[in-house]
Order: sequence, then C-alpha cells, then structure tokens
Amino acid sequence: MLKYQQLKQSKPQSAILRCSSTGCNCRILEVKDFNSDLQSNDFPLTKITNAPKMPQTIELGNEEALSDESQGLFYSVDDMWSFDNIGVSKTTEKFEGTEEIKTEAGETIYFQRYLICADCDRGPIGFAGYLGDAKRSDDGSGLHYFIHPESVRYEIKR
Amino acid sequence: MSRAYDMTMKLLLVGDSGVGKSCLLLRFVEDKFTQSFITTIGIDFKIRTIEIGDKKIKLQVWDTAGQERFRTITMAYYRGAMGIIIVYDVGDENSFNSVKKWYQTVNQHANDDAQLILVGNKCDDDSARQVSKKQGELVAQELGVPFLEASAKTNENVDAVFFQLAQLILEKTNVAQLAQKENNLDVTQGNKSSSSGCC
Repeated sequence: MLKYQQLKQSKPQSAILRCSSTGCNCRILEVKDFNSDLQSNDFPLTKITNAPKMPQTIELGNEEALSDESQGLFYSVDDMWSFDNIGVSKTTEKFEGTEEIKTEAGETIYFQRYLICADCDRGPIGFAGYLGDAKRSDDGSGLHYFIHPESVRYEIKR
Repeated sequence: MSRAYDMTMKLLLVGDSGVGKSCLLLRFVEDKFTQSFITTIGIDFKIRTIEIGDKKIKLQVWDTAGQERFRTITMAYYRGAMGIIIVYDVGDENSFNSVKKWYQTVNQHANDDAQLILVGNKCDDDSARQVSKKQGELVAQELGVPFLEASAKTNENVDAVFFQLAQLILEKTNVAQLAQKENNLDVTQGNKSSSSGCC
C-alpha cells in the first residue's frame, strides 16, 4: 500500500484507493485511467481554493501536516455511485474556512458534508458540496464529492 | 465511463434511539476512531458495495439515528427506500416493545413493495440480555418479516443483515422485471395493460 508521494513515483495506470487506518483497509474507489501525470478523466485531480483542511491520516495522534504541494488537491467525483464504500456526514456548516471555496475553473462549491471511511469512520478523507447552481436534493445525488489524495492509501494491481 | 455495478438499493435503518443502528454501519476494527469529530456531526448515509452471485450491488444505507423523535423529518427518509431494517436491542426490552410501532410507521410511509427485516442487535453486553431469540422470532413470524440477531461488536451477522435484505430485494426485482416483460409482450400483441404496476 502506497502513500500518495510514493504513488507519484511509481506512476501506475490504475489504483484502488483504500482507507489508511491500520487494520481497516476499506476499499473506497478505483481509479482506472491514470496518465503519466497521475491525472484521470474519470476522477480528475483538481486544485480547490480555500478547501476545508484534511488531516493526513497516517496514525492516530500523529496527523502530520499536509505537504504544501498537495494541499488543496482533490480527486473530483461527480457521482456518489462511483464509490465502492464511503461514509457521508450529515449536512453541516461546520468547517474552518470562511472564504468562498472555488474550483480551479473558478466555480463556487457550496460546502455541505464531510466524507469518512465507511468501515471505521476515520476522517475526514474529503468533503462534498454543491457545485454552482447544481440541483439541490436530500438524497446525496446532486452533490459533488472530493477525496483528498493524501488521506487515502493506494493499492496497485500488478 | 461504463457503469461498474448492476443495481443500486436505498436501505433504511429504523428503531428506537440507542439500539445500535449506527453500530451496524460500523465495521469492528481495532483502530476505531470513535473520537472523530465526525461522530458529533453524525453520519447521514453510507455507500457499501456487495456482491451477490455475479451481481455487483451498491447499497445506500441511511442511518436515522437522532431522527427518531422527529417523525415528520423521518418521513423524507422513507421516500424511495427499497429495504428497511427494523432494529431493537436484545438488552433493552423497551426497544423490543417498540418493534410493532416501528412496523406500523414503516408500513404507513414506505413503498408498498419495500422489503423489511427485523434485527435484534447486541451491540454491547450479552449478559444484559432481556429479549430471547425465540421472542424475536415469534414477533418476526407474526409480522411476516425475516429475522436475524446480529452483533456489531463481534461482527456476527452484520454483513448477513445487508446480504439477506439485498438478496430479497433482488429476487423481488427479478420477479417484477419478469412481470414487466410479460406486460410488454402483451402491449406488442395489442392487449394494452392498464395496471400501473411498479416503476
């Protein structure tokens, strides 16, 4: 299981994103189309301005600061059914930022929920919000999901 | 991107407050992070992927914890639910006595074809048991719903709850699809069916 920094060195074409908690290993999402820059069409890695801070989930009580490089980077997932397993918090306004959250393209993200591991509740590993004037719904379907690359581990199939 | 699954199902956990509905959604791992600040916000739903035969099924499981008192809010949860898990705590007789009340609420608000299952949960201490397995079985029989005892603590039957419920929904759907097919045949033969059926 690789960390994001190691993943960047190994340049795989696909990877399974898993929970980083010891003994959990929950399968979160499979990315099948990494290019050599670790970009994916299915789940593009996007720079988010003023994103909620994600702890780098390594070990309990040892939450290292994020590397500057990946701070604000998220895999963008536009359909909740893409996830194999994911936990979604209740709607909350509770997060530390006060500035407007924006995508790389300058579109506003209206923060709604935190994402956690479905098995062990570890998190947040990402967040979900409404993109611009996307249709609001109460069943999670209208939300756009963002997973932080350093909050998960990577299994590479050889 | 091609769809990597065969079916999605919305499932709902209901039951008295404190019976361990949330526990059924939490796998027992040594490194449990119950102190996570997320637990104070609360979890709305989880997506879980299971495989039944050659079918990959994505479950969206809604936890109604904390909503028990707010009946009107809870109503929205029932919309579109294909399966409902009624949970009681085997260590809490009151929660068992509420099962019939939950059954009525569910019948009132859920789709007619929603599949139910009754689960006796022993999330905590088994020595505190107040409701026997036999009692659970009898009520399930009376209500005409399948029954399981599960322990979130030991993971006993936790997966089985979701598997069994999904399996029953899958069977129902197959039957409905078959009926739909026959209806379609009728249409091509000019016998337009007026029954609305299920969409």
